[in-house]
Amino acid sequence: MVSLKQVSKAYHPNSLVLRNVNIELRKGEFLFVVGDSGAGKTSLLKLITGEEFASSGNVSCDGVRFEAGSGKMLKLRRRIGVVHQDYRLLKDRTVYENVAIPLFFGRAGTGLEPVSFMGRGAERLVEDAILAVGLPTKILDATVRQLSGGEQQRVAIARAIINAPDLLIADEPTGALDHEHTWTVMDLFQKLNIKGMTMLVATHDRDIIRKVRKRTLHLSGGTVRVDDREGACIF
Amino acid sequence: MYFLRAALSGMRRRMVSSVLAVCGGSALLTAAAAIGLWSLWLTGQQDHIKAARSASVFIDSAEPSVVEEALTRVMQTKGVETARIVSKEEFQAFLKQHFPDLNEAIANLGEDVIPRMLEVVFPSDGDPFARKETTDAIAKVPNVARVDDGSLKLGKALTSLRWLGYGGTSLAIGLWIVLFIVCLGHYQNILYTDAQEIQLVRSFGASKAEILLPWVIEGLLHSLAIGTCCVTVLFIGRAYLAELYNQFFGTIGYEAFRIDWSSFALVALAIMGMALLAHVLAGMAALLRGRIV
Repeated sequence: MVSLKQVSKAYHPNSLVLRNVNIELRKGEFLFVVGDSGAGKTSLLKLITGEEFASSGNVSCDGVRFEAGSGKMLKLRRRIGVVHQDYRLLKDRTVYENVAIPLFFGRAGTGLEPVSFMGRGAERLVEDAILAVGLPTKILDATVRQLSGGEQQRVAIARAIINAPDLLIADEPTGALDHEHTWTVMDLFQKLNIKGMTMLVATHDRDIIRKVRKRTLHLSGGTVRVDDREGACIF
Repeated sequence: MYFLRAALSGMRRRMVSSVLAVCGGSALLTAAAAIGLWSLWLTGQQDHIKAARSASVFIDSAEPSVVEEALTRVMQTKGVETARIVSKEEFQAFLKQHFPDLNEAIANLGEDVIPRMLEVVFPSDGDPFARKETTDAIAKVPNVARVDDGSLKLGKALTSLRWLGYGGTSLAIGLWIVLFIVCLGHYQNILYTDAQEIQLVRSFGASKAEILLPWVIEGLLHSLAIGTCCVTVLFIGRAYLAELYNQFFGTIGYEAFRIDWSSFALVALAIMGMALLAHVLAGMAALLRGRIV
């Protein structure tokens, strides 16, 4: 589904954050990306979401190459759900408005049924997403500013999954969560993966990797050190 | 819903910038609207002057028989529908109304100095070329000193209108360009302040048109505010405006300037259209100039 071939990325000349990375992620696969701070995890995810473009090499998703100005990228983005490390929630708007944003943009050309904002269609989808991440529906009318860090992180996850994307990319999705909510989210990710959603999760949490035991990619200094297909290698 | 909320949220967060854009737009477009109203009024005057069917014929003698003879010949001229002698009382009443000082001076000099005058009426369907031929023919009638068919007034009005048209158009375009630059600055500011939101909706697959839509709504709301401000200012200042215009043009015999409701509505619509166009084009230009991946 996602393919990176000989990908390098540099934000400044002579300062590569990723070097000659090769990754093949198949449809329905679950992949953890681990590594120390500055290892290049976030840059790798940004290349796959199309937020940044490779300095050299090819990044493609379902055969569509990611490059600046490509019209096909819009449709592709509608099939990708992203949980950003910094959540990227609109702080002055309600939880409902934040979670519903992808419904306005993310359905055209994806084969998903359009959502009616006049009836209860959108409301039901938002409520389902909020309940799936373990939040009560009573917070839908609260503004994001009123929420704790953990609640904000789960709102960001609800927003990423509301359109049932083909690929979910999550950058440290449990960084601000306690043990109980971490496992609520990880259980949800595993359920979505069983249903066919391809998952790409960057994390620092060794406990998660040890227990979930999925394919794990170890990044260090911008290169792939280990591609552990069984998830058996404890780092 | 998202688009309206995004527009309202943006206006609230950028209150100072929004207020400045509305104030700047209101000032610029009020000036453009005042010029537009003046142009509309002058266009009306042009039609009014064109529609005038009469001419004044001045006779160089006060002798009644000479005046009668001139009247007979003028009535026989091709292209004249009817003609009559303007009485001394009518002429004095005209002088008294429009040139009181001259009337007072003439009154003390005796009756002989009061010029004798005919009023000639042309057919309503006569074309300007035929009318010119008729006035030339009347001028050749013995004892006719001068024929005034309003062409001088018409020429002045047309020249004024032409220059006002050039000036008004240039000024309106200039003011609109200034408004466009103000709007462009406003939207480039949005690209900076709302970068996170734009990047976010883009990551969910929003097209550039969908990114632009909240700004168009914001532009529409600004345009409504600008239109309301302009119409209010013009309505409050209509008496001053009329006085100003009438002072300027009163000497060449125009009808008094007034603002009617149809002109007002037209100008209000034009203002909102110009403001909206400036906002939409500035938003598009900002999007093209900005780096949105």
